[in-house]
Order: sequence, then C-alpha cells, then structure tokens
Amino acid sequence: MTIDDDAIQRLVEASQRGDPEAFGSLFDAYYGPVYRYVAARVGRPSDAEDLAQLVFVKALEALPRYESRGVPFGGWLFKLARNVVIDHVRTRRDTAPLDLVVERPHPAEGPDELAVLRQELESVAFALRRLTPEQREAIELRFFAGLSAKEAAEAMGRQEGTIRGLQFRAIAALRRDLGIQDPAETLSRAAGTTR
Amino acid sequence: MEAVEPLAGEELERMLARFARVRLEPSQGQARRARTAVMDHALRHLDGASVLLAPDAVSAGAARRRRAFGGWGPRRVGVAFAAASMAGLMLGTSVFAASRAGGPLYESRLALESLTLPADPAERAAAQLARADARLGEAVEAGFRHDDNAVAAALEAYDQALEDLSATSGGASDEMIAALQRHRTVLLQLAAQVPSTATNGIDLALSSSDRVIDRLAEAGDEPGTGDGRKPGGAGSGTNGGGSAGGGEGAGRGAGPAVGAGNGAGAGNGNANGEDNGNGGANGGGGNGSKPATGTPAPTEAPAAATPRPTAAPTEKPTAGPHATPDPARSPKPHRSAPPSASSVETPIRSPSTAGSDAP
Repeated sequence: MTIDDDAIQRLVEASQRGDPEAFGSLFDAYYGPVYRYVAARVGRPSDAEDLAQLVFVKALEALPRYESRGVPFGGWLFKLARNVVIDHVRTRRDTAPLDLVVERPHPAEGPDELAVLRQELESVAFALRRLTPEQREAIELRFFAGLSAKEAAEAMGRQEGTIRGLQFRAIAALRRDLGIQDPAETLSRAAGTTR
Repeated sequence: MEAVEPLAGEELERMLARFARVRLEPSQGQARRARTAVMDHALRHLDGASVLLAPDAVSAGAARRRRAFGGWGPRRVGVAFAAASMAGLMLGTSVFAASRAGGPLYESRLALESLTLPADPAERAAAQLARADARLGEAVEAGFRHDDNAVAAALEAYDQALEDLSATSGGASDEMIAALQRHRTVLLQLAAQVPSTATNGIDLALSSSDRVIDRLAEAGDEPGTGDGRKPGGAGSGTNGGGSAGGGEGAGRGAGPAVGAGNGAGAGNGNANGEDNGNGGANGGGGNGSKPATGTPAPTEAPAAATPRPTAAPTEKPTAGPHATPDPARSPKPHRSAPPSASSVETPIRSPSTAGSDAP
C-alpha cells in the first residue's frame, strides 16, 4: 500500500461517517491491488474490471458493518474480493487462463526484448498454474496484491502461519520450475568454496 | 517471536513483479471507468437515506429518538431548524443530481421542458435550438465526467431535440444552420474524447444534425419563405454562372421583388432573403427591380465567392480516430459560414467546472 495503516484507518472512519471523498481515496489506494488479484484469479480483463468494481460497491455497502478490532482493512476488503471471485467462478466456469490475459504494451522495448519478456511471462504463468490453488492464492495476495501475511490470512480465512507456509512452499516450487537458484543455497555454496 | 518471512529472492520477485505489471495491471481507462461508477454509486448511496453510518452512530441516533421532545429550548429548536434546512438542501441537491443526464429524473425534466415550449413558431424554434444546445452541453459535461451512460442519455435527448426542431417551422434558418454546424464541431470533438461505446450516439446525433441542416436549407430555398427584406440576394455569382444563378436568385428573393437576380450568378441568399451574397465578381448587376442589390460587393475579394473553403480544416483535426471521411459528417459547404475554431465554445462547461472526479 502507498499509504500507511493509520491513514487507511482514518479514511475508513471518514467513509463510515459518509464522506465520499474518503471512500474515493480508499478506492485509489486499493483499486490496483484488487484488480490485480481479481485479474489473476479470473483471467479475462473485462471480467476483472467488472468484478473489481463490484468489490468496491460491496465494500461501500458493507462498510458500516466493518469494525477494525485488529482486522486490517486490506484483509477485510480482499475477503470481499475473494467472495466475489468465488461467486463469479461458481456461476461462470469459462475463466481464461493467465497466459491468455491481455498484455500491456511496452513501448520502450524492442522486438528482441519483447520476445524474451513474453517467454518469461509464459514460464511464470506455467509455473503459477502448477502450484496448488492455495499456494497460488497466497502468491497472488502477497506478491500481486501486495498484502501483508496478516491481511492475506484474513482474506483467506487462515492462520498467518499457514499463509507463510503456503508462501514458502509456493516460492520453492516457483524457483524450481523457473530454474532459479535459492539465494540462501547460493550463499552457503559460496561460503563452502571459500572455506 | 517475530515470524520468519519466506523470501522469494530478488530474481523471482522481479519476475513476479514484471508478470503483474504486464499482465495484471489495470489500464488507466479501466481504473477511471471503475472509479466513476463506484463514486457515482457512493454518491447515490449518500443521496439516498442510507448514509454510511458506523454502528455506534446508528445506535446513538436510535437512543436519541426514544427520548421525548420535552425541554427543547429555543437553541435546540434553532438547531433543528438548521438541520431541517440542511436536509432540504440535501434533498434539493439529490433531486438536481437525479435530474442530470442519465439520472432517474432526467426524462421527467426533459418532458417538463418540452411542455413549457412557446407556441409561436419562431420562438418555439429558438427554444428548441436552445434545448439542443443544452443537451449537447450536458453530453460534453458527461464526457468530462467519463460517464458513458450520461453521454448516451444526453445524446439521445439531443437527437430528440433536433427531431423536434426539424418538425418546428419558423425562426431564422441561417442562425440555426450556423448553430447546428457548431454543434457538429462539438460532437466531433466529443467523439475524440469519449470511449467507443458512446460513439454510436454521436454518429446518430451527427446524422440527425445533418438531416436538420438539410431540411432547414431546403426550407430556405423554397420560394416565398423569406421576408424579402433585400430581395434578390443576387450579386454573388460564381464565374459565369449567369443562367444557373438566375433560378436560385429568384427562388430566394422572396416577396414582392422576386424577379431580381436573374443572371446574377448563384446567390447565397437565405430564407430571410437577406443579402449575404458575397463576392459577385462576375455576376455584375442583377437586372431586378432593385438594381443596387445586384452590384458587385466592393468590400470582398472575388475569391470569397468560392463555396466555403474553410469548413474542412476546422473539423478534421479535432475529430481524432472517428474522423473518417464520411460525407454525412462533413460540413455543409453551401450554407452559411462554418464555425471557426474559436466559435466552438458556447454549450460547454470547462473541465474544471464540470465536477470531474477522475483521479
């Protein structure tokens, strides 16, 4: 998040008092992360746009019932997002896989770089597909939406430790599939050679 | 004890970030559309009685309502009066918001407007034109707000206003044609701004305005429709357009001096029979009953008699991707002067005043 938790809390309280501008600021802070999470889940950009919008409409309606009490707002919001996605997937099964998602143009890059980038993106999409659904969701919440482990745990309705475990295993699987060496392993190997 | 954060490592993090940026990032248009829709919903949510209230505020309000009104001093009465005034103001604001283009009361407002139109044909036509102006202004304002529904609603209403205008006889055709040509320029500018979903409405509006311009032009060409203030309208001939011009001059030079203008070249006379014949380099004198009108206009260069060379440059650059060389959209070259770039200002509110809530 670009704004700190206290500022978020103040915006939430102002929104609850009926300040639309405060809700607009919350929208600005969270739209990108929510969209990325939803897009990663449903694949199709048009669906992602509709669903991300729906998440905020639902948040607006549910906001009077939100009480902080240790529950981070991000976690609460992404729980709504998760439910919206689950409802969508239940009713429409024709979600597009991640590698069919429209790519944003990269004007600064030439054809060679684009080809390399596309290959890398396909590898990442393939590696993500090979994760278990929970591992993938943990990665989506932590890396694509930028949530903290606590917020991700709230969104997924799991313990924080469980999220860390899922993330740990997901990272290991991604490294393996993408051919990336574990930095710690590399360090220890380097230390062994110098000893 | 602090939980250990599983680290992805620099390379994996970079790859995931790039993946998110390229494949999962919302476009600016998507974010803008979503924000507009959500904020619209938020404002409506607030306009309706269900204001966002925290649970404690709700319970406190309920507790207050339970008490009797006894013991209210003048100060409390004053506060209550102020609150009631505020509520009235909010209601008025919400009614205003609801009657904006695309709002639930928009149709009712339009119906009310059409009921209050004057009966006199000339005044009615002027009022219809003012309505069309207002609708176009609403479309432009909605465009600034990126509210596609409002743009579509306003353009539909604009289309209807043009239909009504077309059905109304009376009024100065030249002024109307000039106004409609200004509208076309505004519409073309609007087409370049709004998303493709709203361009259908713009196309319809453009073709409607084209149709109305044609109708007004035909009305202007009909014999006897002008008031014959300056009969003949002659003297603006194109080179050697003697015989052809005779017919036109006679057609427009309504009223008692209809005979004027034969052989004077193609006049640009209008429905009023006013002398806007320009140029007349070769037209020479009309031999009608009022010879003065047939003399060449000394103040204008002969080149001015060519039919409207400035029309295309004023519209084309503003049209953006929608500026296909569609003849239906092209300006009318044979009628009154097209709007210059500086003339396209009237019905629009500036973006700063339009209340845009785009980030």
